Amino acid sequence: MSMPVASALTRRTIVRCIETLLALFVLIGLNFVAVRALPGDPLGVLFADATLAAPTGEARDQLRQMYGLDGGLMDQFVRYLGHLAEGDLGVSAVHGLPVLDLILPVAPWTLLLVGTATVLSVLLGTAGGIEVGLRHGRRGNATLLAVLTVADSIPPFVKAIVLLFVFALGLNLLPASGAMTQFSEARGLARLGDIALHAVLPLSALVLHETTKIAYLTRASTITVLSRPFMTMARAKGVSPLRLRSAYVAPSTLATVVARTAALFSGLVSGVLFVEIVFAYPGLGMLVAEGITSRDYAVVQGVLLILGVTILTVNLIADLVILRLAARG
Amino acid sequence: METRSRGLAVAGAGVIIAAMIAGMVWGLAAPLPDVPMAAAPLLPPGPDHWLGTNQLGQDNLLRALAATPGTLALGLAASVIALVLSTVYGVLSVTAPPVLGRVMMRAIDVLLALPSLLVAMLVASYVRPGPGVLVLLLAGLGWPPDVRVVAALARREVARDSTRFARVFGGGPVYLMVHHVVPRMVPVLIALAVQGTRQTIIHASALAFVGLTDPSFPTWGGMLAEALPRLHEPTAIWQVAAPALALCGTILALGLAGTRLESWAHRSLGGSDDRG
Repeated sequence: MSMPVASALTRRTIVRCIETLLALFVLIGLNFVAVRALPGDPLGVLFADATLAAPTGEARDQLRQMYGLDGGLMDQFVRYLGHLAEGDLGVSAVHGLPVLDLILPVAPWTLLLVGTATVLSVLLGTAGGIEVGLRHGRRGNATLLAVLTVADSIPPFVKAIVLLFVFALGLNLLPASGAMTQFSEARGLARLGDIALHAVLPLSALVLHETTKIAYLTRASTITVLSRPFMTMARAKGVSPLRLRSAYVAPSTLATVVARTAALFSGLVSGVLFVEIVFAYPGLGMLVAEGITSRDYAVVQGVLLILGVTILTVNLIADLVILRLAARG
Repeated sequence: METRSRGLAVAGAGVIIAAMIAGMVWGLAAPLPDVPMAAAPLLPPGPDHWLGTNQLGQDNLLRALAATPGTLALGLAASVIALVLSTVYGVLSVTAPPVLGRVMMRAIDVLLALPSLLVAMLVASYVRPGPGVLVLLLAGLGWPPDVRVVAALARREVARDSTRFARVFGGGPVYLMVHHVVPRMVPVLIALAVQGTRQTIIHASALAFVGLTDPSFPTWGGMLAEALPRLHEPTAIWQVAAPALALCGTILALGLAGTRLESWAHRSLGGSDDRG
């Protein structure tokens, strides 16, 4: 009996891996095609705003070679894939540095925000969703739902702007920008505290954004659980409110939350870009924003490509975990 | 309660649809000139300029209003194109030979794995799309999620007795689709269109916020981005207020209408009314 289950699991694992690889290929292909599909010479696009005089003759050939634009299309694509495989994302036209060298120093800040926000929004979203779900059909339910709906309708960057106005400018409680106090001599705990204080507002914007989505889902599955006989039984037995939530409702809603991990993560990764821009938080979002303003194509695409690949990988892992869990029953 | 909120939903949907049609006609007939730089820059709210003026002396409220028809038209156009694509693709995948149909659905899974906002940013970073290209870009990224819904519905409609009878009486595949399968899906398609419009507006405003759309096309996201450098000053709140409220209000209205339409579609398919 276990054999067919195991083989079905293997087959679906393989299918998911192939799908992810194909998606990766589409992503990379889009990046490759986009610059070459535009009318005119790709060099003209890349250097449309360059302050230096339009390169001619030999200089042009040199640039063409530097950006991998010489030779046939197929040839270019193979070379492009080869560079990517080596972690070579091209050279920033503005900084004169390899894109990877620009990404690596700022990536930890973004990772800090996304990682913390993932944990917090899963915890808060599940707890909040269960609370709202338990109030289903009671007084105040409509108000709670309305709050959730309104919160869900505010794009992350507007949430960030509102938080900035209220808590940083209005109440003057928290720092408005940056990841830590500049030129600070603080070391050890004081430094960590400074970093934490600066992360509060960007994190709040992100967590608020994803929490509402998880709360919606958890609420829906809580309501379905409520009508099950074991819940009536638990209530009749007089199970304590905390135990009712943690041991009876939460496990039943967990599956929905785990299944949503993929969407959660990709929402956070794209949300963090906008939140960082509002709070001038020195992560990948700021790098993208700078790249867009200075038309530094290699940087913009490098960051977006890396984020895309990260999302695809995390989603694949989440899906494989879910498959494993489902197979176990 | 139920009747009242349904009435409200219908009224809300009516207002949105009327605004969209008016916006389309207006936007197509005469592209709006940019709001004139008629006043002193960065005025606080006053009787002449209810929400003050921006760095260029343009009225904040007027600019937010001027961006409304374009934004709605863009959202509607992209979501209708996406819906047509997903309907054709979904119906084809059901009527195609099973092997091909399965391949078509797998292709959709691949596209669904891509983070659409990041892909939109990637493409837009080269193109800096104006309204026309933006519609195509967002439609191109917006259709895969709808295909599964459409395909599931089409599969159900194809299996109906009425469709089978029509086939026995000699109805060709196109006739069957146009007269038997697609008409029954209309409520769901409308709900999908409204949710798609909402999603498109969210994505378009995000792209405009990071400066990836043509700046001469007025957008709420672009207006918010213009206020960014002065966010540390309390007066920036007047510059932010109008576009932020317009954007959130539109997303909220479309979300509410979409949810109502979804339960309507659910009922029209014979579902019960008691979903959470």
